[in-house]
Amino acid sequence: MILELKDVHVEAGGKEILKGINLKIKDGEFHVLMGPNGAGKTTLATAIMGSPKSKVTKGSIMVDGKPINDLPTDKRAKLGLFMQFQNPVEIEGVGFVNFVRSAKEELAGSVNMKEFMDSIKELSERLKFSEGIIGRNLNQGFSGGEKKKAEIMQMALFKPKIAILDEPDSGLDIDSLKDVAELINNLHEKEKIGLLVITHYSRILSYMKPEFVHVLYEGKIIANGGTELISKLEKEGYTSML
Amino acid sequence: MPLNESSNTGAHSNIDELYKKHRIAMEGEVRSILSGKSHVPAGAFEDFVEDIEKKLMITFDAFVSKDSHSLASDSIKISQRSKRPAHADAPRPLVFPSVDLEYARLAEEHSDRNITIEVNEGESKNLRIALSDFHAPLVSKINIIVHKGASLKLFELFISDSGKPSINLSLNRLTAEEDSTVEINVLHNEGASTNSLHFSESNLARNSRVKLNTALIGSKSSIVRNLFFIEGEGAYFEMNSSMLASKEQKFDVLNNSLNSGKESTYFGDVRAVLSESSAAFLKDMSGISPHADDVKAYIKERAMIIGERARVSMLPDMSINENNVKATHSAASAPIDTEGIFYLMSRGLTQHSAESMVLEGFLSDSVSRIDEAVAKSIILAHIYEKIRKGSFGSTVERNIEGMWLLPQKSQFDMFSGGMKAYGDAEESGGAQGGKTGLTYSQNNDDTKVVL
Repeated sequence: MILELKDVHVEAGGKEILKGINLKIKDGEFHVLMGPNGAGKTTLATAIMGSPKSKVTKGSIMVDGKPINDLPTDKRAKLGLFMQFQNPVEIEGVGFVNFVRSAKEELAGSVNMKEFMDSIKELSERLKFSEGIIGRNLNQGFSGGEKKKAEIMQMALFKPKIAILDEPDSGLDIDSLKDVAELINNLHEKEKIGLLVITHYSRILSYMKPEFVHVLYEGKIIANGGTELISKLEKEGYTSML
Repeated sequence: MPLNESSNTGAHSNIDELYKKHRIAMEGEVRSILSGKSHVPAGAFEDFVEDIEKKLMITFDAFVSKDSHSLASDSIKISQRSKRPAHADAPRPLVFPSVDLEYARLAEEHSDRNITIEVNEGESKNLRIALSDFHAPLVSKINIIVHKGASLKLFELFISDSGKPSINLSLNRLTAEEDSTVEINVLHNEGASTNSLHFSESNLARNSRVKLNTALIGSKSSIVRNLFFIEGEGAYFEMNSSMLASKEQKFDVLNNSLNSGKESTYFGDVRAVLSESSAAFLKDMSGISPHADDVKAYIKERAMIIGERARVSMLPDMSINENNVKATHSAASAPIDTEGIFYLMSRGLTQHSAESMVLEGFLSDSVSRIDEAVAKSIILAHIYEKIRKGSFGSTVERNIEGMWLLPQKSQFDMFSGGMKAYGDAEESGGAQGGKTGLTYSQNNDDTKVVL
């Protein structure tokens, strides 16, 4: 699968946030998008997933060469795109397991309940959910760290082709950060999931091996390169790239 | 959805006008339907009061103000009751026209028989009743007495889909004696041609615990009036009410509670989902009597609006006459959360599935407080069916643990046609037309069920 953005402009809240983004991600590749607050990182992620609040005003978002600008969000998910939300919404009365099972059925057609529940239990233990995950409502009463873990757990269960992870590290303590990073690495290596990890800081990247680094500043990608960009950013800051 | 904020959807004048129009239309229809079945001659009002007090001990008496626009004209007067709610006379907006009490009178006049359900001291029982208006207007009067230390779980399922204009009137009275525990679960899923009117009164003695869980999803129009008298020290009353309206459905619900017992609790949670051209008028009035120390009273009203034509009017209100209490009320209405829908769709759910899931979650959060598993599963099944398919008043037979409807019966009868009951006692009564699973006796017009 190839996700490609060609000269993408996006408007949100009546303001142009993204101003001509060009980006190409193949499944199995590991990309990182860094940028300061307000650069448009989350808008980029939501635009790729088709949020009605992030309106593409110009350019094309394409999957395997076909534009998906007009494709509803659920169809994009069925193509193999996944987004880990920075602040996933809490939905009362909807059980986490029930929701994930419904989503899995939509994506995969059918679910073997025993295998599914075994996976849930195994991931729950691996990610060290202190109160477990079974019997809890979707993101309700979850700590910040648990929300992040629950998102990554969904990625592990759905096995998308390309995943956009919007700040997977925020709200996680050091131990949890390691657990989450290990699971992401594992999925990337074994399942060949293409990754676009969005982050402010290089903290989580010390546990990962990205191949491509992009820097977003005021709605434009101002630098592309390898991991050397991360070191440069740490030393000199974003403005040095201008 | 923000809490602790009062909000109404639609201009106030518009919804008041809608309310008035709906009430006039419904009243005309109810009278028209009932006039074709006036097998019980209408008595004088005094006779009605005497009769109802004898048989059911519920007294609804119109508190008619000379000035129809008086702020107090909507109040309920409980006659011959020394503990008249202190807040009944308090100035309030016009929310409860006295015509409702005429409906109660009509219910009494057209009722075939009284039903008394008693649970003996120390006993623990489970009873399920299905009531339908398939063949005739259904009128039920049920007097429930749960004696000292006894426990009752009662499920009332009102269902129909006759396709003909019909009426469903019910009067329930509950007496929860000292240390008793009661859970009453009620599902109204009448058809789109039925008008429903339901009146209930609950009286709680010392240390009794009562949960009333209702789901209102059917009927063309529904009027519900509940009175809760939490009189005993340490008594606990919890009400969880879920409403799901679509098409042209109109729901008009008033819950009126009074905590007069020390250390007593009232918890009211009302939730409504409204779509298409439906409307709901929700009023929750809570009163706390003088000297009722350490009372806890909470009212929460929440509504989810789908589309531009649905309307809701919410009015939580408290009249607190004691300082040492904890009392809160809140009301909030909002459209369906688009962020939530986007999140669910990003996981592959279609928009319809995502919206359905959000609505189901909103209502099932309330239904999940039901302890009785069968009632919970039936209520959830009906809610899900309506959300997913948009239909209500379902005729789908649900033979769950012995309770089902028999749509082929042609003769209206509480126990053989219009009403089926299932309980955990042996059958030994002389009922007509099939098993009821109940021990009961009939005496002319009255039926007594002893569990």
